[in-house]
Amino acid sequence: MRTSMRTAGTLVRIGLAAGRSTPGDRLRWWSLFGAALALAFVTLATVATLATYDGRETRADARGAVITDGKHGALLYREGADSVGSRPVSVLFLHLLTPKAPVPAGVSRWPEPGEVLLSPELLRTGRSEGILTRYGSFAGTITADGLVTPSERIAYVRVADAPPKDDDRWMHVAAFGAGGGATGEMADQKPATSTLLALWSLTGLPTLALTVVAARVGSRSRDRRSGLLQALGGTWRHRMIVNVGEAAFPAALGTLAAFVPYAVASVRDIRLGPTGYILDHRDVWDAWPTAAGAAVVSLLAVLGIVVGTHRVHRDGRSTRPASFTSRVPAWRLLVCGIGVALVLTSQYVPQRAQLAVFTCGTIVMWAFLSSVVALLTRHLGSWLANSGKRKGHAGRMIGGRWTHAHPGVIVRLALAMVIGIGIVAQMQVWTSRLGVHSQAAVATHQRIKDTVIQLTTGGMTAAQTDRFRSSLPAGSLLLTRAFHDPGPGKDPWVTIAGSCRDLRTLHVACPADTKPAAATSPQVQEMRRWYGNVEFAQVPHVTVKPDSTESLLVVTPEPGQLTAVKQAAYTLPNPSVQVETLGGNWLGSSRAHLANWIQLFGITGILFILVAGAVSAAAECVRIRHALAPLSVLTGHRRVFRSVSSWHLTVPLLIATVLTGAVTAWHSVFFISLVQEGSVSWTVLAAGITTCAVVSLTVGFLGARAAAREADQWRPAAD
Amino acid sequence: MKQSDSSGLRVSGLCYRVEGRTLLDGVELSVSPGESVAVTGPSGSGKSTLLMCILGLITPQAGTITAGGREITGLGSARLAQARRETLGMVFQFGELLPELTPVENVALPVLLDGGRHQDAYRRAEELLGELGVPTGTTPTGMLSGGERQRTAVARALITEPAVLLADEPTGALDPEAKEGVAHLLFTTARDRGCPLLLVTHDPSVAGRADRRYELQGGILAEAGAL
Repeated sequence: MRTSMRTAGTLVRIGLAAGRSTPGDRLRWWSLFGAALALAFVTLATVATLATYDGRETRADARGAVITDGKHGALLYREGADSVGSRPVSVLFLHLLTPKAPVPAGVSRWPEPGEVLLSPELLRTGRSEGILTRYGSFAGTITADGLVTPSERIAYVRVADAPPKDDDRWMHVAAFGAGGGATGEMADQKPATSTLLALWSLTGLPTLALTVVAARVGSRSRDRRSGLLQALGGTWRHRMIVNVGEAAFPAALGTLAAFVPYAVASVRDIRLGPTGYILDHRDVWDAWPTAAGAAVVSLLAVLGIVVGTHRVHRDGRSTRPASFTSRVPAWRLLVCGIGVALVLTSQYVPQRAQLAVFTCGTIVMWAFLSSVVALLTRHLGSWLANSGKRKGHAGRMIGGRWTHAHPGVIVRLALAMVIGIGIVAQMQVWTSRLGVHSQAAVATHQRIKDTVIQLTTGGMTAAQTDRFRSSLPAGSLLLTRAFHDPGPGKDPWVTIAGSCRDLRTLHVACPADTKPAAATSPQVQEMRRWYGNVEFAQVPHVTVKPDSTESLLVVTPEPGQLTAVKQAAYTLPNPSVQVETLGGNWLGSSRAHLANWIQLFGITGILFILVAGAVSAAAECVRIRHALAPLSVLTGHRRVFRSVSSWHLTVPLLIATVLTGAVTAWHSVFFISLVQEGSVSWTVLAAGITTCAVVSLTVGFLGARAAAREADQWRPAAD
Repeated sequence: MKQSDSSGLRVSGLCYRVEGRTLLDGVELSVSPGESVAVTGPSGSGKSTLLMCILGLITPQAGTITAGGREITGLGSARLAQARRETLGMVFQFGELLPELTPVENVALPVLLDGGRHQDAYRRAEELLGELGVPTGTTPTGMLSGGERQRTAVARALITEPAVLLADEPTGALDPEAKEGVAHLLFTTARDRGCPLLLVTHDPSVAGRADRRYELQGGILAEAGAL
């Protein structure tokens, strides 16, 4: 026992010393540090996500209304929706039935009638849109205990007058805090699994790629060492201890460094880039024990990858350690083929399982693509070398032999590009998947902006609508929209009614008109698009029935008057209205904001993959530098360095770029045809391919330059 | 083998100091065509530095070097490389071969890099390797034994038929049998080709094969036994 402990200690010391003395050691140190940091960062982000979901549920429960019957109600409560900019706002209208009506979490006391409580984020973002006076007089803010996140936009509005008794949208509430609510950001909360799936596919996968690349930086000397240890009778455990000893220090420091952003997020609220979402620091703080455990798992994963990528291959064909002739196992190619087959056959399985089969196939395909790329790269290298030898082209011959002997270099760089282009393509495709209604809403907004506004109100008399009309921006038209449902088997229709003057302004003929109206206005065309079968009617006075079948339509003479219309709507006697532009509820939907999350995860992932590519390229430059420098004794020309570097790096990478582009295009088109929405942006794909082509040229250029510089100082030395 | 028309190697007044240490202090040396000279000395005495100076990889502070009738010192990098390519052949202690290439490719490389006819280069490489007993198949050089690798390095140094042959501890890492083989090869090749051989070694048995033996100590190069 003591002997084995002593041996382990010695091996760890060997590993630690090796970490400080191998060529390109600083590069590997920093690569492992960066990879461990990135993996721990994603792991801690996972912990923070789960903790945030937990905290959101807890706070949503604390403010959730307990609905009761009329007898036990302490207040009347109605949920409404509004928007500030393109962001949805949850508006909760209240009418107290007793002076001691309970308050939800985040509210210490109810404001006076006609007053409102706003969330800090709503106050901040809505100030320019007149949010301070939109729903009533501002009386204070809702504290963090009553908000699922600090970025939530929510308002408690205590209406000035008692709601109409016949408006069944008002509910009796007995208390708060005994059940989940679907208000505010909880209204369309995606399950945690969706968020984590996006996080790990867009950011986690590149992080794992970065870790593999970092683990293999300068692998040649370690492969030789592993072979030597094996030859000396060392077992996999001995090799593991040396490899772990070598990687432990940078990996542990990198993992610890990931706690810096976590620590910041646990003491202050952090706004997440393009999403505008604010992480609640209390959730992150509460999850410190879990975070510590997760960090240990992350560190072990890094060390596991280091050990797993330094296995000794014994093919039984040579007595020497086979450091550069290892073959690609056939089973890996088979598994990759199965992945491709799953993608191809996904369209023929039952519709429910299509996306799952497609996703499984995609993951398997990408996971084992490296083996296929390695095999192709080896063949390409062999072909290049033989061609170079036949033609007497030294650069092509050396480059080809290197590519054949060290396909891992090309594979890692090519995979970085594959994942990079893949992420860009998936980001673009997913963000284009807005859905039919969101796309229609975007199109409507592009054509008529916010000139058609729908108001869902309670019942209104002619006098009330006249008063409302007078408070609208000058030149606005006021119409009613009535929905008719004739029952099964017959198509419903919508009647839009207004004064002859208003209808004529919209180029709609009045019954008294002898001439048909001129070309229909764009606003009417959009109404037909959204409402379907529309009939127009002339009425002397605009009224709204209280049975929810009718609502108001305001057509403003010019865009940009939505805020003014809202201001007028919320000062109605019963302000529990809902105001939105035509199709507007689809513009601010959570699906529309999904793009921001995909951007956040995708851009972070691309950043990691760029680091992985840069590290891989730098590692190869270090290797090329040392390997090619002795040629300086044989030739005074620098062109051999350019030639070798081009044939070894640039040409295979350019071929990989073209293949990657083709595979990505096929995969994206296949995905779109499967889900039947979204589109492929060929411009984005072309930009990605162009970037990779430039990277290929740059890597070759840098490799040649590094070798030429090293050659100037090269002296023979023991390795 | 084709006889070389070299006029030998001449080193005159060579001085090299680094970090306050004088490694070469007015070194004088002359090696005639077909003659072999061995330089011995303790580790760090500057033996390899002498070879690096002759090879032009280190610029001495003073002195001149003439190889094959061509002065090496004072040349610009391009002309120095050309002179090195055309005049000098070097066998490094650790071969400095590209392990991924086959022995034939490694040996032919100097000719290919110089723009020579590749068919001739491969044929000549195969001949040389055959003479030296190195397999000429498709096995990468990195998979050969230490002796085979070092013999490949000798073949690479010889393929350009250099005017001067230099060798830095060419048998340092070899077993006795391989050492004998490589040493024999170097000395007989130099003699047969009328090419001067300057060899640096720690090994007395290898040094004993040379026509003349020198010892380098304290920057002074002197005939063995004279110091």
